Amino acid sequence: MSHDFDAIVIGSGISGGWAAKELTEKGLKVLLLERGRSITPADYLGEHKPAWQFPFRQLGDRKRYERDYPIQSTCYAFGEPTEQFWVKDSEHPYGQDPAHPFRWIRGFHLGGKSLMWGRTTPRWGPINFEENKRDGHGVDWPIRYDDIRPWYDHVEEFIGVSGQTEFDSPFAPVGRFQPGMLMNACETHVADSIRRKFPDRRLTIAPSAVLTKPLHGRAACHYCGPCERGCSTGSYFSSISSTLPAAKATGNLTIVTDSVVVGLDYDPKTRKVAGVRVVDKNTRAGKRFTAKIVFLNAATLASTQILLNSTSESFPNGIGNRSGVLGHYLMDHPYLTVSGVIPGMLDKHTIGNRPAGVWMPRFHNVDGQTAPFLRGFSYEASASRANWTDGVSMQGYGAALKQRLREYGPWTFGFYGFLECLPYRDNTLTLDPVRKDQWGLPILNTRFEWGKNEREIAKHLVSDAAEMLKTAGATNISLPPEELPPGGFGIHEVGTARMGRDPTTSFLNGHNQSHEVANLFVTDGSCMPSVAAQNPSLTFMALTARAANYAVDQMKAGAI
Amino acid sequence: MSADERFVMKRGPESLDRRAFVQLAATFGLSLCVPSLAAKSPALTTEEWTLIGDVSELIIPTTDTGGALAAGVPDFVKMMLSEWFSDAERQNFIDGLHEFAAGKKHGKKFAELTASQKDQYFGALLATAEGDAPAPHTPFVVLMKRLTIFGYYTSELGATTELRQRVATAQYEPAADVKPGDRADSGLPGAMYWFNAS
Repeated sequence: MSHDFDAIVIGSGISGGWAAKELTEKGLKVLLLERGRSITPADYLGEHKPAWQFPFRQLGDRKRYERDYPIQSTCYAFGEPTEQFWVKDSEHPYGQDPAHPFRWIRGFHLGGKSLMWGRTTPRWGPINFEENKRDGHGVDWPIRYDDIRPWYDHVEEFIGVSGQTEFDSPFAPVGRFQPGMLMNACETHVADSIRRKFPDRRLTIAPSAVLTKPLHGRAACHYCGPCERGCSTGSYFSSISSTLPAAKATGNLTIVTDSVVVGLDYDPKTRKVAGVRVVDKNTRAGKRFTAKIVFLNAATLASTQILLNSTSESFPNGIGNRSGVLGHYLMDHPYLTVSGVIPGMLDKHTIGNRPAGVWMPRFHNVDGQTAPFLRGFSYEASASRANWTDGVSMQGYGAALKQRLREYGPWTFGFYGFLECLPYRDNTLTLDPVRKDQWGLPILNTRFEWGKNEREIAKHLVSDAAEMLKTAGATNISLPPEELPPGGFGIHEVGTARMGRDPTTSFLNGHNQSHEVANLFVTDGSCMPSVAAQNPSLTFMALTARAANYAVDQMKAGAI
Repeated sequence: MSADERFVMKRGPESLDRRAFVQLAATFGLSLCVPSLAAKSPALTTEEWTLIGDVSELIIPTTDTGGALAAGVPDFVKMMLSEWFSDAERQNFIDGLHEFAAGKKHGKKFAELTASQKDQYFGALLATAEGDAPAPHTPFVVLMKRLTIFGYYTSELGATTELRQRVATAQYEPAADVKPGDRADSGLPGAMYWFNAS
């Protein structure tokens, strides 16, 4: 049987770029399908652009945002300098259960969310792959840390992760890092104060996918700051700066943009995906591509939507979904901010805008179950000196106010804690039985809520942060609202096509391969049986590289 | 009340940059065109626009650097009123402006006051407003303070002459000394900041 390509990769974001790179480098002819438009560095319209050159001084066109971007505009990185990287909610509807809402943050363009992501890339530790089994929540990961460790090495070395190497946390093993960025005067003070009182709580620079040394033609960071505007020197990892150029260099890559995948065709005779059906985004013309293997990397929600919409007599509930788990066990991280003013160090400031934060890996339940909750939380954090934006909260006006705002303000330190969410069957993605989008794809309905354990962790996350701030001498400590934010804000959505050992309780096997459809691999966040309390992207990059190499080996062995 | 609460409309828990690694967005000063806005000019008289200019200059006056007028703050106010404020917010601003201009509390119209009387009149109203608990509708003098500060420090004059703007420093200095006469970095209010006009 002849195929158009050896492999089709659906989606060009963080994981899709990795699939394309690995498969093309192994000699496969690869078709990369992207539903959005093409992107080049010329599209980084906001890069280095000062406030006064934006019509709304970076406040953005509020009325247009309220109409077209009511969900996307709630993302911290959305704004006048970056709005071209988000979908219009008005054109891309999805359903939310009113009582259990979920915020779906999306970027449909070549590179996907890799252009706007947060870049913090800790490894997960051995415990993270064992904890589902230990406490019985979720299915056991079919792999352990040692299975993924060499792939973490492989990914870190290629994308360039800068980080510290002195502290080897069980929740963030030291990797193949470039030199880490430096902590500022206030962050160092806070870290030292905490460590004196809590020796196991270590605040360090976060591992971050931003270069401190040149790599593969990409320049070291120039410290301009807001990476989400795009980076013409390619200093932070994105598909555009890193994986897609490598894939193109093989001569084996074909990129087709503006192609919305609506479903995968299943052939019951071969028990394989027989073809990928797409609709042209602009002309609505339908087309079908064939390949020996398919990598689905459209990001958690969109991949699940495609799988659910790929029905046949063999799989009436979605391709490969005899287990019925597809679309269940959606997870995310709620983010909670605790901040305070740190007195002193007024003779120090920072020069340059460092695009890596500091962070503190999880420190609860390290040696067994000791905390009054399961799992745990970690913190991202940073300190900076207040600037003119404090002017409005100051009394007065005139020359005196102007003079005060000319001077550096006090140091403020913020903890941005995020906690592990357990997998719950009722946190779901389903297809709307009636409504379709303009490309004919049934609208995805979401239902998401936090559980009791998350609420319990949140209390400790907040009180521990406040206590540590006090230890560092903080005043004016500000706490987050008690009610947790809706799901989705963490933009760490994972889990709806999970890996597992048992085909009756999981969708994918230990190599991200469908239990039931041998040439179908899913390697974005949807594959994760748990979400840990670390950022997930590095882990699904490593899983993608591992799965791609496995798939090629299986093809060579004639098993696929 | 924190600066955030006074100045910005919180956009939920994500309104603070959770990754927060970009405290200050930086700029190169590339000369790019700013699309002109089709100004739906609010129904204000020339005298009222003059008043807006006068008040902005009271808030951020000319000193050894230019003040609000030199930075074009009234144009920023005009843009915000016509393009950004909701109808209710605009009406609240204009009602407050009219009341302020009439000067009932002073017995004279604002336009008829001497420079020092204008300063005293505005200063007294601002002190009262800032001493009060936040009102459901922000008083005109407080809105003018927000608009002026925002408009001034996001202008080229405010960001690069009054304050200092560092872009693409190539290196990061985590503990640089503050030297006498140093001006703070202007930075930029990140995408997460939303002006509170209500």
